Amino acid sequence: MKRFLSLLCLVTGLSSAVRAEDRPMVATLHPLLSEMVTRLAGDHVRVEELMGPGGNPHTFDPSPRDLARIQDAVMVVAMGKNLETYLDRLEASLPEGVVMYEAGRLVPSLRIDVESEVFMCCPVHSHGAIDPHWWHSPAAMRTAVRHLGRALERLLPEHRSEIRESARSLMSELEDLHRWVEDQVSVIPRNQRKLVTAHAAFGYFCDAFGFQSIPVQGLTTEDDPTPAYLAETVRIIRREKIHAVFPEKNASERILEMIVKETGVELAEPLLADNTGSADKTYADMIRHNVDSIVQALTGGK
Amino acid sequence: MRGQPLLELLFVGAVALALWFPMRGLTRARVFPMSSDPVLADGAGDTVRRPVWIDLRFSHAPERFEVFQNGISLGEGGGVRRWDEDAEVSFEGGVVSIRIEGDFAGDVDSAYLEVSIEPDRLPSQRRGMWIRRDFSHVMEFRWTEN
Ligand SMILES: [Zn+2]
Repeated sequence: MKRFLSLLCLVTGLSSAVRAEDRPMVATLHPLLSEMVTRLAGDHVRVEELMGPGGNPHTFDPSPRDLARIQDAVMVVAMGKNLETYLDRLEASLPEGVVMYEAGRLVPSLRIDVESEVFMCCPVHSHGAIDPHWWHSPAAMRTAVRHLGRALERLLPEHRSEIRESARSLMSELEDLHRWVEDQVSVIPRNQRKLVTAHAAFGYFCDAFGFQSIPVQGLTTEDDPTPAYLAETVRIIRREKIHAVFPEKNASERILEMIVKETGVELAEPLLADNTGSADKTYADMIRHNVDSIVQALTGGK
Repeated sequence: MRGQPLLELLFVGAVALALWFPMRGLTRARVFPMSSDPVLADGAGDTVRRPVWIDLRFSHAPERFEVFQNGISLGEGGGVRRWDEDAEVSFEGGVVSIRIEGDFAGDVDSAYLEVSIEPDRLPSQRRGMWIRRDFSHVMEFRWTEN
């Protein structure tokens, strides 16, 4: 009897493993997208994440091993807005017919003022280009989730109503999150909503919540700002009576430290710009972390 | 940082250079509506059709309601406080005009209705109004280049 039971377990175990393999594979190019796909489609898809929570999307480049890993994918979900500069190459490496989906494509774009000489993110995302960091506005994420949900419905028509329902509840969570941010930042006077960051990643956040974005450093250490811009930054920090500057995790803090020394501003808790930093952190955790840090620094913890 | 003369020197150099470099100001991001956008590239009176997401929220669930544009139904519902639908609507010179009609049952005399329209690639717009029993209202939503 025992032997029969263990055989039964083995057989059912195997069949569920086979079922797991039967599920269509959706490859994601960012952990936030893995989270959204999983929230929307649940167990109906197998999510294969190319770049992990520690990855830098500006420098990530899929290896041949990564490409081999997603050869069975039926859909590849990218952030879009040219964040993944390797997307064309990735598509060319995959079998024909794979759906290449850019989650940010239908989200309203922000563009860096073409007059501005000082936008620094990475060489691809220079001034005049479309800012790729759309996920920092929960309202933009809600729009992206709605469209992503529709795309997954087309992929899995048999689970359409379930995906639609998941999309509704996720969208309403994102609305709540957006309102929570509005509520949190409301204690910061409008004229003090100035975000001096290490990396120009918060344009969408600033646009959504009435902040002015003042990036002071390129993403990589080689991508230092011009001396003229640095001097201007110091002048502005003094003129605008800015209380705190926000370094970014992973980014070099050298320039920021220099500014702190010159102006006496406070170095705030680093913001999460391009990734969640850890596998157990969700999108909402990332937004909450950033908002807590911003509110704490710009109100002096009052 | 302290005791790094090279950095200090770099900083002094930066300030000196600033005297010669004309400054262009801070980075400003702006929402586009770019002029290449089909809705906004239109001259007045030109019509384009494009996909939108319509989201209705009622303070009290109406017995029935229906959304129209130019006499064509975009969707209908009833008995719910929240309803949303994907639709394709006409933009005339950047303006979307829709009519919402419906009725309340029982003891509901008036209710608040909030309507959001979110076109692809454009920011969503929201309007709210008080509605009474047996209502029919036209709402206009306008997207302009800023
Ligand atoms: Zn970035």
